Amino acid sequence: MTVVARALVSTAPQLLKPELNPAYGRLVDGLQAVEVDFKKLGVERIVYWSTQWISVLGQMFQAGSDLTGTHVDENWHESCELPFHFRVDQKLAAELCAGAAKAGFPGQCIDYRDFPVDTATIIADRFLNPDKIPVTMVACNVYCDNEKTKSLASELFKILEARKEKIAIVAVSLLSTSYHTSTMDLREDAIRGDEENAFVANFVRAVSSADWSALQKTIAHDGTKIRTDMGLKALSWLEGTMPAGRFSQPWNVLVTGPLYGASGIVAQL
Amino acid sequence: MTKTRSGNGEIVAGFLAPHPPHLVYAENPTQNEPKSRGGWEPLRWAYENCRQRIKELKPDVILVHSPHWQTVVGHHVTATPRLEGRSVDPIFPHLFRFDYGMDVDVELAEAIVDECKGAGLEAKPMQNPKFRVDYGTIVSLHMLNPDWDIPVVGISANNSPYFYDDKIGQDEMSHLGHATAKAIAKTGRRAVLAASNTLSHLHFPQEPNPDLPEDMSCEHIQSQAQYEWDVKIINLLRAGKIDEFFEVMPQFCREAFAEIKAGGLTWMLEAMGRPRYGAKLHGYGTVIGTGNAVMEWLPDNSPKSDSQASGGQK
Repeated sequence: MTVVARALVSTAPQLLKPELNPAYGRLVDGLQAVEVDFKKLGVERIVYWSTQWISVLGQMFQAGSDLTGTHVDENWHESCELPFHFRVDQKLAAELCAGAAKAGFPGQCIDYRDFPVDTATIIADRFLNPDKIPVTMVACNVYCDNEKTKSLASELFKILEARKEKIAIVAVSLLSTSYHTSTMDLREDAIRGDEENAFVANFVRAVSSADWSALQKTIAHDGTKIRTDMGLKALSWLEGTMPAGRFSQPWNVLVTGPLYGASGIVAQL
Repeated sequence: MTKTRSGNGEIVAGFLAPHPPHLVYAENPTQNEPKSRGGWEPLRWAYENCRQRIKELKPDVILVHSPHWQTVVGHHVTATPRLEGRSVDPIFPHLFRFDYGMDVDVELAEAIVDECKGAGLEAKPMQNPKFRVDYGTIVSLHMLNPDWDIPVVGISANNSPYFYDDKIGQDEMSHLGHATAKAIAKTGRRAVLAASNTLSHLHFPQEPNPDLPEDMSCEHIQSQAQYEWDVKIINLLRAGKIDEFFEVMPQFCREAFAEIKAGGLTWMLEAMGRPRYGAKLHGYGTVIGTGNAVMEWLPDNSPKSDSQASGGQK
């Protein structure tokens, strides 16, 4: 078994200033705990899937031979300037791309200087991968619904399982995206909305107790009332990478918390 | 490059300036790394007319509202004297890797931010010179003025049309338009506005011919329904039926997934005082199935043009 770890993480520029809000500090602690776990497990590759890197014309896989640069966040340009450097496993990206095409998800490998890696993936990698383990990234395809996303993940899981390295699969996504829409004091940041807070609580309860029917009900009922991140496609992605193609074991939810009103989570599957 | 003037500024023209990166790719400018055999000529010929018009108008500045710079908190405005670098489109990187350089009219940008704040809108100047300019902004600007010899101001698309309901979102863009017009009037600029938007926006889910993205034998509208919607909208705008346009706009956005939902066209039309004269259609064409119209509003040709000189207020 080469996929040794799975995680759902939420990141945002606010996490670069954990001292401003104890909730940010807790999210950072959660990310660092995942990183420690990756080290213990001997993770040798990380495969990121982020809701902030979207594809629309087929599937895209990151295969950058020189994925280095400085990313200025589109929203927090005055305070969030992120130098980044990724070691990309180009062969792994090519294998995933070929496997996806064979399974009916054609696309392309991306290898372009100055490619704008998304803020969420850069920050996730900063916390989870300080030793610069080789990675690749899979784009969130807008034209793949949850079912297709799960199907794609299942196909890619087979390829990952055939590799010899120990691999971690990381989905980068928020739960709710009800951001604060006015300038606020970050010390007062909290998950916005009663329904969002209730959703997060029910979500955590369901996944922590492996109550998958309760999870389905929560998503189908409460999830439609709030602004979820890409329809919670991250769950379909992660579920597709499970050996049986479905969740079975309880998740270890390390923390949930606000990211400028949106709800973040750090969980191990 | 910025000028200090006061009063009597005016909006000299407005353009619906869609931004498929395919148009720049097809043109093969030196700034863009990928090269093509051409393609999408009818839309590019349409832009040639706009280029000519802009040269004749001799504007001080071109302002562009782009849906690919999406902001959560308020309206952001480029406000640093020079922006340059390479912009790789994260969605179409195989087509668009563009080395850009643009002078920014900082004084006008700051005036827009001030007017927004004065009107109760959240607004923020973007002052980081390392900021990567999005492909929507670049494509619209390049197609309107490939010489890049006119200062620009880029305005982000606040997420409110997607975050709230249609009315709240478009009202926000209306207020932004009014604030922009006031800033132009106060700073004395002759300004061209560009709404960087496609009309119907559902498109092919896969590259029709990965070996030749400019294969025009694969190009067609995504659906007949989209086409009919586009024609309806274009005809309303050509006829200057602005109230009817705004009335059907929410339905258009829902049914054709129209990109104008992001607010660029509302911003521009409101800044121009809801022009009731007909827009000139320079061309319509599809790009990977989306519907794109290049259109021009020229206040001087209109009997309603007096409202523009006073800042475009209703």
